[in-house]
Amino acid sequence: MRIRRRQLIAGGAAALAGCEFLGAGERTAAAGPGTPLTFMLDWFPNPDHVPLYAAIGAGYFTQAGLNVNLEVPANADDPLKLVAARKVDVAVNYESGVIFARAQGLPVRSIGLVVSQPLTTIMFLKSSGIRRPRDLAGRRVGFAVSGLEDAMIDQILRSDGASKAGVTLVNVGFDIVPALLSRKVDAVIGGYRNVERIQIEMQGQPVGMFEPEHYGVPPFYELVLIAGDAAVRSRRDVLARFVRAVGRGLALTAAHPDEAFQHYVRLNPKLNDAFNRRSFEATLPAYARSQHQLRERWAAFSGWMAAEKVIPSSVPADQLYANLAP
Amino acid sequence: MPAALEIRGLRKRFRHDGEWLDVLAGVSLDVGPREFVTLVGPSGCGKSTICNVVAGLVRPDAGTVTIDGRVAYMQQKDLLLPWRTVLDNAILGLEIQGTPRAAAREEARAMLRRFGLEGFERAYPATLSGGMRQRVALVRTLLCRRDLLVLDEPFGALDAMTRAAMQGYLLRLREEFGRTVLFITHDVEEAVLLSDRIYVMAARPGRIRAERRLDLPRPRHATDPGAVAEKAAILGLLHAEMSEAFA
Amino acid sequence: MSVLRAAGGRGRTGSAAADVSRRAATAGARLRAYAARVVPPVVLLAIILAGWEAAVRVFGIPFYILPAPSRIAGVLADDHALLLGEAAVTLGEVLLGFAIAFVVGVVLALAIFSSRTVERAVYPLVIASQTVPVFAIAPLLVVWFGYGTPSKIVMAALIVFFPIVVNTVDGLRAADPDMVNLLVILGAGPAEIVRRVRVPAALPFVFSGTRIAIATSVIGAVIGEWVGSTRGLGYLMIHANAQLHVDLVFAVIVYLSVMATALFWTVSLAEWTALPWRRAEAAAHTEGEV
Repeated sequence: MRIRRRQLIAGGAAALAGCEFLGAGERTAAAGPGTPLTFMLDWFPNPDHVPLYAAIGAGYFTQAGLNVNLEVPANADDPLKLVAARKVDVAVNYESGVIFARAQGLPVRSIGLVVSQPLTTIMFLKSSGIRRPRDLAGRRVGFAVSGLEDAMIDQILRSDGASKAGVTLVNVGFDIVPALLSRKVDAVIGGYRNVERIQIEMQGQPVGMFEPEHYGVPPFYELVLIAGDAAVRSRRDVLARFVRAVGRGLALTAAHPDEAFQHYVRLNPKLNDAFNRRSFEATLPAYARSQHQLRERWAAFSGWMAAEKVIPSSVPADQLYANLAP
Repeated sequence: MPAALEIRGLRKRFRHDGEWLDVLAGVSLDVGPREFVTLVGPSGCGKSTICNVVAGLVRPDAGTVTIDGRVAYMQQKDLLLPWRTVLDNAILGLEIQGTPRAAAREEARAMLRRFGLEGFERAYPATLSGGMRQRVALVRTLLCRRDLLVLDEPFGALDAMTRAAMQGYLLRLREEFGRTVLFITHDVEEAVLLSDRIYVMAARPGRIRAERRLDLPRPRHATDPGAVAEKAAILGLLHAEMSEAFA
Repeated sequence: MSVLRAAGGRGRTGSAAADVSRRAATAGARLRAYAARVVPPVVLLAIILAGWEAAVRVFGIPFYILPAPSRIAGVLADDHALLLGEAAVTLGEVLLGFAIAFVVGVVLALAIFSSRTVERAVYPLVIASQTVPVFAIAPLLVVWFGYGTPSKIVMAALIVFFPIVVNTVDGLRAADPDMVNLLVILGAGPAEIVRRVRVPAALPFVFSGTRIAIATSVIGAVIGEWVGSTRGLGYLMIHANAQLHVDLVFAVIVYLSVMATALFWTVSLAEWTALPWRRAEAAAHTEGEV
C-alpha cells in the first residue's frame, strides 16, 4: 500500500516537473523505479533512433511513470519474435515486418510511429548513366535479403514498363555500399536515403535514387513501434503512456533538433561523428509528426504485398495496428 | 648358394641421454657356409645391433663385415603389411626383386602349404594368430632366396608350444634348403637345440666372451645329457658375466 | 594354439552339412548384429522427436520460436520440390569444393612430408588459416571471387582443406619405421617404399580426415551462400527467415543435417569398400569380445 502511494506521488511530481522543464533537457530526479518496460531496438543505434534517445535523455519516459530498459538485438529477427513471445514489451520494427509476422500468425501489431516516410530506395551512382528504372535492364542490382527485394524491384520496373526478368539480382549481403562503389553491381536495392546515400556522398560520389513510393509502391511507415496483442489488451494504458512519451521525443526533435541530437550522442558517445550528424539531418523530414496511424496505409501495403505474392493473402488492416494515443 | 659371414673388430657407439654408449666394443665372429650359428647374451650386449649392421641398416664406427652373398632379415615383429593378404605378404620380397606376380604367387602358395598355412592365403594378418603370422614372415624371408638368414629373436614373442613348433619348422627348413643362419636369442635352450656353434656375448660394452662348438647329434631334445651339459655350461658363463657386472 | 580364423578360406571341417548350418548361423548372427547397430539410434531419435513434440504442446512454445516436429514434417512434405532443388545446388558446391580441397590438400601434405623446408614454411600458415573465423572469410571470398558459385566452392574447400592436410601428413608419418626398414632390406627404392608402405598406411588417416571434413564443409557452403547467392539451402534459410517462415528455416536445417550425415556415411562406406583389411581388423577385434 505505502509503496504504491509513494510511486503515485513521485510520478505526479515528476510529471509536473517535466512540464516545467519541457525543452530544457534537464532530467528531474527519478523518485521511484516506475513501471518496468523492456524496449528493444530493431538494429544497432543509428540516427533513425534519435527521437527515442531524446525521449530517454529528456526524461519523458520517467515522467510517464515508466522505467524503460533499452536493448539492442543480437539478431535482426529477434525483436519480432521476442515481442510475439512476450519476452520483450515493445520493439522497433518495420511495416513489412509486422505484415510478414501477422501473415505467419505472430500476434504482434504496430502501436506507434518513429519514421513515417519510406527511407529505402533503389540507389545507384550517377556515373552509371542510369536515369530511369528501365535503364536497369541488363544490369546487376545488389540486395540484402529482406523478404521484399523481389517485390520492390518488380513493382518499380513494371511501373516504367520494364520487367524484372531483364535484371540480374545479386545477393550482396549487408555491405551494399562497397558493392556499389567497387562497381560489382550497378545499383542496389535497400539503400537508405539517410544512411547509404550519405555514406556514398561522403566518398565523393553523387548518388541517384528511385524512391519506391514514386513508382507504385504504396507509401509505408519505415519505422514503427510494435507490441504483442496480449499486451495491447491487458496493458493498454502503459503502452499508451509509452507511445505518448515517444511522441514527445519526436516533437522535441522537430522543434529542437540540436538538443535531440545531443541526447543521442550523450547516450551513444561512439556515434558522435560527422556521418551521424549528416544522416540525422537527412532523416529530419521523415520522422513521424503524429502517432495516429492511417488504416488505408496498412490496408494498401498489405494488399500490395499479397499482389506481389510475398504473402499468401492480404492481412486485414485491423490486425496490423492499434492507435493507443489518439 | 651357401654364404659366409665374416665380422672383424666391429665397433659401434650410440648417443643416449647426452652420453656416448659403447654398444659394440670390437666384435669378431664367423659364420661358415651352411652353418647355424647363434649369438646368446644378456640384454644390451648388442646382438640386435650386429644384426642391423649385417642387414645394412646401420653403419659401424669401425670394423669390417664381409658377406658372401645377400642377407635376408627376420625380426621378432612379423612386420606383415596389414593391407596385404597372407599370400601377397609372402611374395613381397619377390615382387620387389621384380618377379612377375603370378609366378611369385605360385611359389608362395607351395611354400605356405609346407608351413601348414593352406587355406589362409586370402586372409589378412589381423585375423591370424601370432604364430601363424611369424610363419608367414618366415615364408617371406625364405622366398627371397637370399643366402644368409639373419634371425633376430624371431620366436621371442610366441608361447612355449608355438615356439617349439616353430623351432621344428626352422630345422626342417634348414635341412631342406641348406641356408646359412645367424640366429639371435636369449633363450639358451633354444640355442642349444638349434645351433652348430654358439657365441656367448657379454654386455656393457658388447663383446664376445666365449665360443662353443656343439658336436651333438640331431635331432636334439632338451633332455639329452649332452644338451643339458651344454646348456649348464653356457648358463654358467652368463651368470659369471652377470655377477661380474654387479660386483 | 590360439584360436584361428580362416577369412575367405575353406573351413577346417570340410563337411557340407556343417558348412550349411554354419552359414545359417552366421546369417542369423549378421542380422542380429545389423539390428543391434540400427535399432538404438532409431529408437533414440524417435524418443527425442516425441519429447520435442510433447514439450512444444505442453509448454505452449510458439511455432516461430521452436516449431514442433509435426509442423516441420508438414513443410518438408509441402515444399519438398523447393527444398530438393536448393539442396542439389548446395550439394554441388560441397562436392566440388571437397574435390578441389582433397587434391590440393593431399599434394600439399606430400610436399610437407617430403621436405623439411616446405613443412617449416607452410605448415604454420595452414594452421593459421583455420583460426580465422568463417564469417570473416566469407566477405573476402566474395570480393576476390565475385558473387556467385565460385566463392561458395572456395568456402567449402577452405573448411575441408585443413583436416585433410593434417591427417594425411600424420598418416604418412604413421608408417611403422621397422616396416620401412624391411622394405629397404628387401631392396626397395624410396618411391617404392612410399607406394607400398607409406600410402597404404596413410589411407585410414586420410579417410578419417575426409569424414570429418566433408560433414563440416556443408556448413561452409551454407555460410558462403548467405552472401552472394540466390540459390542453395543457405540462401533459402535467410530468405525464409526474413519472411518469418520459421518452419521453413527448420526444414532447411533438417535437410542440412541429413546431407552432412549422408556424406559422412558415404565416406565411411567408401573406406569400408576400399580398405578390406580394416574390415578384417575390426572383425578380429569384435569376435575377440564374444
